[in-house]
Amino acid sequence: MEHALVTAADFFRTVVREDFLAAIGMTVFLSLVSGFFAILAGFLSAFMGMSAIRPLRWLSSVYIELFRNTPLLIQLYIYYKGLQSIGIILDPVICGILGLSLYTGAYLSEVFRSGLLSVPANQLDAGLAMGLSRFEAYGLILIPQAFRVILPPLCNQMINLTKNSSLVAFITVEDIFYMVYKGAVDEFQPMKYFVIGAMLYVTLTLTIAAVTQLLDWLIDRRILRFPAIASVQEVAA
Amino acid sequence: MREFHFEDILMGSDLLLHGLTITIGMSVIVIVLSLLFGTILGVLRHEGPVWLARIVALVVEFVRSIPLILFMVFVHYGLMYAINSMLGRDSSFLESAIIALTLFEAAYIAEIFRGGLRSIQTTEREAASSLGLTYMQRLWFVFLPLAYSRTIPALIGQFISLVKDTSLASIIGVTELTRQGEILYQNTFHDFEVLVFIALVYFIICFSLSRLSRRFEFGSRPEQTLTVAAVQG
Repeated sequence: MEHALVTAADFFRTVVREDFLAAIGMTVFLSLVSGFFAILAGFLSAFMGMSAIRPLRWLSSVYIELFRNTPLLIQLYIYYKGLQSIGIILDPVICGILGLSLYTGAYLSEVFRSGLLSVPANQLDAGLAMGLSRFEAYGLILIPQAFRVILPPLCNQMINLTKNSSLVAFITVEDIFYMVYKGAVDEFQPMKYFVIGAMLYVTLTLTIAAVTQLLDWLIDRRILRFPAIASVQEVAA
Repeated sequence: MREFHFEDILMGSDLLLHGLTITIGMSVIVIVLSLLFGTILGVLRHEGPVWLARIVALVVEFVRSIPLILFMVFVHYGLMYAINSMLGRDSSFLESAIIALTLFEAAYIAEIFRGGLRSIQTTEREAASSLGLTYMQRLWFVFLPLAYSRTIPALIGQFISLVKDTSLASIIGVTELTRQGEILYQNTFHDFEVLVFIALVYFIICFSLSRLSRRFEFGSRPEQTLTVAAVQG
């Protein structure tokens, strides 16, 4: 029977290998790229959901409900195996990015919508009354204020995204979980690889949380300012 | 592009129906067990002695920051394998999946439930004490009903995730809906049709649950009636 504890030397011997480091890079890459596209999809869907045009609102809620209420694993299978079977062959990494972005985007859409709605409506009216266009009012007044409300749930969704990215291993993308699973089954050392995998994912999760805290702190201290806010302050001054 | 063959689903309906039964059965069992465990963990973290609360917090936060599939593989190939070989019996996929899902979802429910307990105000706690209730009575008749009624939408949201998460049990070999679908399209090679159909089945279950949660969200304040009923009962 193997011993349950993983020594530090054991950990480094396993992780500091070219293929394992590449796998860590893959998870980080997938999280960053999918995070970017998820925020894009989320914003688009949130604005569509608040639009005055009924078909756009309808489209947004169909997107949200459809992607939130089906398992991510099935969504990934559809993009990879499903499309392949009808003759559309996509790279597994592209499928992973597509799946993770659309899935997370549906959750972010709700986050952004409630964040934007949390800013009192008269803020928008005041902006419009000052002669700003609707686009400017959103960019200069609404979004900067909503950002503080959005930040904590956004952080949560980014953490979920990183954890969910482990499912791309089942569409043959070689990420952290792929290496952990392979090691656990091939070498039959589930304990060792579980500890290694858990340590890596916890590290990634903590990093995301720390970055969020840092952003919050920087905004609090006014070290980091929205360019929009700065320009409004300049105009005011 | 080829023609679509949705008749495959009719052909494999026995297989899929069997899978659906396991998916639903597994979901119900895990909902009940994880609600129980999650409540206990949530209460311990919020009301327990400091040392115990810290340990619970550490475990809960750890489980919440690793992917479910990693946890499930560990429970099946590591924990359950060790336990079963000690007891000298074969390991069962379904058992492992239920245990892994229960422990994992319980960590999330514990956090939701702790939020519910935190929402109970000092005045409400004092009111319960001034009625002369013992601590266990206060917990059972006042705190738990209040916390439950305030967290119903969040709990249902977690149950939706739970139903979706059961699809991961297919990876360790449980013949639930996803796995049965896999078996079907490995024979017919019409992956797209089968997968879209399975997605639709999950959608129907989860969407109904989300409608249910909306009902509680906009309903009249159920906590008042619940608490009164609990104190009277």
